[in-house]
Amino acid sequence: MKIQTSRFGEVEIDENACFEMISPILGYENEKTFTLIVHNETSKFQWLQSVKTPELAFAVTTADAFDIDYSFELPDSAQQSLEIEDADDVLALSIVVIPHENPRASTINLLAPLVFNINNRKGAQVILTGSDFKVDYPLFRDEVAC
Amino acid sequence: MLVLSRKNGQKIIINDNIEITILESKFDSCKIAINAPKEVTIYREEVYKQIQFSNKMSNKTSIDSIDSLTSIVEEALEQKKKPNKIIIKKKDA
Repeated sequence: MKIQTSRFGEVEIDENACFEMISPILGYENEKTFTLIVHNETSKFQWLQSVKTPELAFAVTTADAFDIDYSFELPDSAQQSLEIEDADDVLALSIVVIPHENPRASTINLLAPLVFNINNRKGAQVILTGSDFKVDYPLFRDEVAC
Repeated sequence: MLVLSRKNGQKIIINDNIEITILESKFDSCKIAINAPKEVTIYREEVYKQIQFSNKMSNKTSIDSIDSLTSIVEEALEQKKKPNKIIIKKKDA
């Protein structure tokens, strides 16, 4: 299946590899179907591209890729709605915000990860209420931002 | 929108399974207790708004931005691999 994207032009995607958001990406309640597009082979980032809207794509990565100590308990509500039975079913991605003029000030959203069940392809943006995780945790912490 | 007046200790029942109690209300703040099934999600509005805003910002990301961030990350990793500078002092003969 071919989709139109504003960033990558026309892209061939596997329909069966799409994710259905059963609980929305906040602010994008009408966007249900997304696909993952690899930025390039060496990059730690991927794009979560809307199948319906060419200009809608989120920069995503995993906290692991940045040595961030990050683990959370999946709320029961999310576990039930995503029908997750085993930790191996889960793909957790975090949305990244990259200030155009200063990429060193990029942040990662640890408070509301995107959680997917890789078997049934259902996804949700899960808010980890009661945690101390930040919505804008800095990707670069040890160095002074230039 | 339905607007209800409640006194401290009074409750509101929604949908047979959500119970909201006004615990304490004074001046400009009020403490409420919510009893709801596990699958019901409850958030403070400001948290919700903050996440919405962050999602919107991420959607503004360009390919160039990720490219430059990717090279910054690679540089940082390269830097980590390099050993610290080692200085050996030679003794005078």
